[in-house]
Amino acid sequence: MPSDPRVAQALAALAQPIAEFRAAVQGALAQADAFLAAQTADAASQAVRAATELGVFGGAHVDAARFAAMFPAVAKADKTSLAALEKAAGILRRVAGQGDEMAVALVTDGVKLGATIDAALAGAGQAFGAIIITELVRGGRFKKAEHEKLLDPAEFRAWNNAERRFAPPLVVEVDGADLHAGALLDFADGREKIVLVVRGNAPPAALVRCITPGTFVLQTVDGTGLDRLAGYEGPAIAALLPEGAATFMHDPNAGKEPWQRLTVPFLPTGPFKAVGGFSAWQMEQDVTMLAELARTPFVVPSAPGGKGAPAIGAGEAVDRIASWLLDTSGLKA
Amino acid sequence: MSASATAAPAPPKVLRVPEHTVEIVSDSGEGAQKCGQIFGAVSAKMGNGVWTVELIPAEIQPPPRVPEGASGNRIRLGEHTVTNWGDRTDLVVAFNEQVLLARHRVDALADNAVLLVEDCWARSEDTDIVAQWNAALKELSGKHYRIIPVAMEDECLTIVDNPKKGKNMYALGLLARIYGRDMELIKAQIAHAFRKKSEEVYKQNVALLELGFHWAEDNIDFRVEIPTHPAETPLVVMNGNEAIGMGAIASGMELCAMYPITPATSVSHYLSEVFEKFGGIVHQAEDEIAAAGVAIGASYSGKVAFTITSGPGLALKTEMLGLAVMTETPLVLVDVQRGGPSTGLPTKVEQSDLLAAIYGQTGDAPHIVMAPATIEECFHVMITARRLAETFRTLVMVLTDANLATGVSPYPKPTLDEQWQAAPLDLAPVRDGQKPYDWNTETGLSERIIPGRSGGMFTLTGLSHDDRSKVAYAADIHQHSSAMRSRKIAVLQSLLKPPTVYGDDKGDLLVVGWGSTKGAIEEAVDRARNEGFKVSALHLRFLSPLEPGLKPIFKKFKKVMTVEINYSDEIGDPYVTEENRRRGQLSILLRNATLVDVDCWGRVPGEPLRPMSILEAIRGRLPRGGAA
Repeated sequence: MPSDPRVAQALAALAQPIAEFRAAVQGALAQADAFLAAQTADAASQAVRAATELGVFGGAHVDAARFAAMFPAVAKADKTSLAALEKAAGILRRVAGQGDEMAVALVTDGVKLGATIDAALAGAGQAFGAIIITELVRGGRFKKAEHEKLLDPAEFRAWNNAERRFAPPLVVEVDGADLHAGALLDFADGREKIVLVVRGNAPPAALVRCITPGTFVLQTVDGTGLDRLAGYEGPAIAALLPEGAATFMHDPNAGKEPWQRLTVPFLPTGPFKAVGGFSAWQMEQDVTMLAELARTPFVVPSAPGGKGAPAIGAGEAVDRIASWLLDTSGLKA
Repeated sequence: MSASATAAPAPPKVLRVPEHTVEIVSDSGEGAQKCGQIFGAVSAKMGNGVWTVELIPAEIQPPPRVPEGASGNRIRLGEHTVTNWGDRTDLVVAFNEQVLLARHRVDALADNAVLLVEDCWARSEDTDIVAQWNAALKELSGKHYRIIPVAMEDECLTIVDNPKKGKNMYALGLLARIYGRDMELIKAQIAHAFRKKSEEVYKQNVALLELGFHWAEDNIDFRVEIPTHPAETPLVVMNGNEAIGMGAIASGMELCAMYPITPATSVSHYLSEVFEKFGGIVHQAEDEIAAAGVAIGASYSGKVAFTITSGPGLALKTEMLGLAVMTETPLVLVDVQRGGPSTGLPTKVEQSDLLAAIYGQTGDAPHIVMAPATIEECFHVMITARRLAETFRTLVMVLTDANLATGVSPYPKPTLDEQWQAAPLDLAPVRDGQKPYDWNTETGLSERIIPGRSGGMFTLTGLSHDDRSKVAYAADIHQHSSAMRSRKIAVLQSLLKPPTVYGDDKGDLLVVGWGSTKGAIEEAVDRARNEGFKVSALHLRFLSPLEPGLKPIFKKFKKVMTVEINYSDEIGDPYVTEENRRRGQLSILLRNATLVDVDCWGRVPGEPLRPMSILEAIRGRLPRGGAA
């Protein structure tokens, strides 16, 4: 297991989506195994199966052998299909047998962040292909020439929408010098969730570049906000950073405007020092960008005796200003 | 009749018996049922055979001190398995003399029964009450009862302010001493019963229990010993409604849609507490029709759903049940039968819904009807019901009744099996050309298409439709689709085993029953055989389709008679002839299916049949010695 306690912290936060993915794989594996077992089952064992399925009451009153003959568990499949299904079952078994290491990747020397994530998710993509193969074989629709390639590892870019919705989360250990936020945007789709555990000096606000209206983005030092990330019904990217980095949360559910969605508990000030290939100027740009996105566009002064107007969005600003002016001038009816 | 308890310096007389029947009766709301439930559960855990029946007044809150308001529990204890509530009660604890009279007047008490009765009423300042007490004692004196007055209220007032809230635990203490029950087990059961109450409530109830125990220790001059045989395998103790609920969970059902109706409601009470832990939900709909609709909708979408009801609710669901059959949507319906027609006897047992269950839908609506015979079968039937509903794409009705629903009996703890549950949905794209009703013309069976499967979109309709689910009124299409829906029932019958005869497979009389009467019928048959009658029994679980091979079985007996808890005319009743006689509902089915002249004997007393009554019916059909 990884030694950095923050990895365990991230895995704990992602336990639910990890469990969902694992359950899907295990469900498909159970179907594949049952189908394969039924292919070789003799009449007696099929009768036993039928009697079991019918329960104690049914087993006592229904002729299980005839029931099994009338309702075979599965249709007979050809050898090619069965070979593909066995291969698919092997892939599913391997993925299902993995522990939390299935959801952890490490960026090593000479390998870029994006490539690391791609490689880590390719195994999950292979599981998705195995699930499809299972369905195809069980439904009698498997065609080797057309479908066999589904059993190859498949990078995220090849995943369909459903697979992206069911994507397994990933915790990635990465040095701050390798924190290329742009690479992460390739995976911001469906419900993919990536949490970076950043080691050493790092650009202070690199993930600001990942902010899009529908992407949950989090920079945290102590893990605050990871629970909300795990529950978000969309793509999410987070980084657990060392002290001194900017902390912010961009939650698409929090409002229509960028500043409504963005909370910035801590914004560092320069000057910054270069880290790896990131220059001080680039870091300053990130921090400035974050500050500007978070800036409230207009604040309505409090009306006399009022409790102070809340921050507002541009769309409502004109109406609010007009209302305030009328209040303060005594002209409001 | 002796009229007082005696201080008992001499050792109490020990009555060692293979079985004994106890009743606790009170006004509604005094807790006699809770006392009986705990007593029954503890007895079962100690290794006695147990069958309990709730005595429930027809009114929710009847006035106090009236015979019609008698509420409580009857517990038949045995050295071995007990399958029914028996004939008469040997010992009663009554909280007033009026509820005792109620039991006396329905001939529920053995001639030599011991009656422990609250005697505060004899000392009432209300002269009317004293007069009622005296009149009751006079009426009871016609039998050889032993009446033991017990000052329950005075005793309870030493611990609680309101003795109405304490007498039941005091009575439990009396019974615990008389029957030698394990006090630690009782205390654990009390803790469970009051688990949602405070520690103080628990302690108070235990104090009342011990008070009753010690009073009996000092004042009751006899003890009853029923040998116990602790089970070698784990047992569970529950009533039929709880068993239905647990069976639903074990079968992988995910939705119970219902509307409250006695005596079915407690299935949902039980499920509401536990269903969500297993991924299910209980949906209380706005009415019976909606409940059926929700279940059908959920089932159509791929969830495994069931609905529960009782007679009036079954009537209201009629159209929806037809929809399930017409659309070939799997649906399980549990009908906990009560007395009818109309609102009838809401809290009392009857088996009068059989024909309504099978034929009650408009149009031709073939479907499956099954009836568990024991509380254990109430659990297991749900696994079969779900499987058959999905396999045959049809409605499966499960008929239980108030006797099974509220009766409590131990049975071997089921060993759960994953294969009882529905297989994961196959949401793969449908085959090219696959239709929503791709009927196999021989069997009527077709593969169900779950919404969401690629290429599987179709319009679901209750209108007559063709195999593409397109509305079609053409004569040949309706004839064909009707045949396909009907054929499935014939296919199921071809897969059923012939039923097993209880007793010899030939003789003078075969008694045929269904549902909760099994234990009483078989006990009556055993007694009749001991008297020399050549009588056997047959108990059916499948009513639609009927189990196969009945005619050959019937042909080996000189007479065949159904015993049912539904009304039938007796030959000899005024105006009743062979031609106009209204027969028991099962006998109608059997005559129709076998062309055998099946006789019937039915009673609708609002209580389970007693073996003794069935035995008398058997004797009435056969001359002594068994020569028909």
